[in-house]
Amino acid sequence: MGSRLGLALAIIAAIITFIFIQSDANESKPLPVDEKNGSTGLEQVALFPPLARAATRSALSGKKLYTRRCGACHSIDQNRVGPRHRGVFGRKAGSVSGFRYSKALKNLNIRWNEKNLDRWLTNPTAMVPGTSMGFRLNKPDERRAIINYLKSVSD
Amino acid sequence: MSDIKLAMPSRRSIIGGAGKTLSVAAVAMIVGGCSKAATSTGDGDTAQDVSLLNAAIALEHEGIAAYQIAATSGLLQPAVVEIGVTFQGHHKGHRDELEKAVKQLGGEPVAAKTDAEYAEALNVGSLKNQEDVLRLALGLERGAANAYLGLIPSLGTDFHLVAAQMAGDEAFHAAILGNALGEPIPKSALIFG
Repeated sequence: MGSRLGLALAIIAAIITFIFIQSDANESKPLPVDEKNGSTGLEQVALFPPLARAATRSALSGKKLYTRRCGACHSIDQNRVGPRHRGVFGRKAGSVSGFRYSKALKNLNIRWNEKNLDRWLTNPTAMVPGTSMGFRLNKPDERRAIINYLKSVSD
Repeated sequence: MSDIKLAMPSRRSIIGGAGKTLSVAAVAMIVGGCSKAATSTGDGDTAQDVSLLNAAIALEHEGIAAYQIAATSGLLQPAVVEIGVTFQGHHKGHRDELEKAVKQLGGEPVAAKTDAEYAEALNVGSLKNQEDVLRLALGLERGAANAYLGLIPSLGTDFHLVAAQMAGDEAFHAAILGNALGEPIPKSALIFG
């Protein structure tokens, strides 16, 4: 019994060691190099402090997501199917000039912030029955990125 | 957050006018072209569906105008114009189906704006060549595919199929446009939505 336990422990230890070696080997692989400019992209990232780098990544991701998820109906500076979004943070709901809102949005007495935008994007018709916006954004990380982007164009 | 002008009849008023209007299930059969009875949405959902379908009509109006503006811009090769006009025809088909549904539900389909208004909203003045036009079209089509998919959970179940069909059309357009622009094929699954 004791020898079997010892054998099992030895096998487990060997597996763990193998996994660590593989993991280390993967981490030390060189990054793919852009053949056009010979860059891995890390040089540019290294110019920014970590926090700024994270914020930049988030804003870029948010802008791209905004275009793909919201861009059918919205833009930052033009009223389209939906109202323009520049300055949305802190703005009263249903108050963009030149845009004709549903009655439900016009009567919504809130100012947009992170919390209510998250709720809105999760399920707009549940938050404001009668709204014309039905698009739901189910992924919390996508909502966060888009809300951060909207904030960046509101400052 | 959309600007939609519509009359929102109560469920009761729609059902009350039985001689003039159809049930939600019947409308779904018209829109979806299905032969089976569809499941009716609950009371109070009809006006919401009208509102959401009208937003989709507004989206289709913009798409139709965008292709019209592009086709007459002088920036496109004749073969590209031909493809654009075909895609525009698909969007007109979407609009017609959606308008039919809204009317049958007792609502008023939202009207199109002028091409000049759409041109300003889409910043068409910044387009300088065919690639610019195709990139604008790709952005709109890709966005529309995502919009329809994101709309489905908010719509009554009767309209899920038709919204999915329209998302499929938009995704098809986006794929053609992406290919024309030399965009790589996405590596991961679940490209839209």
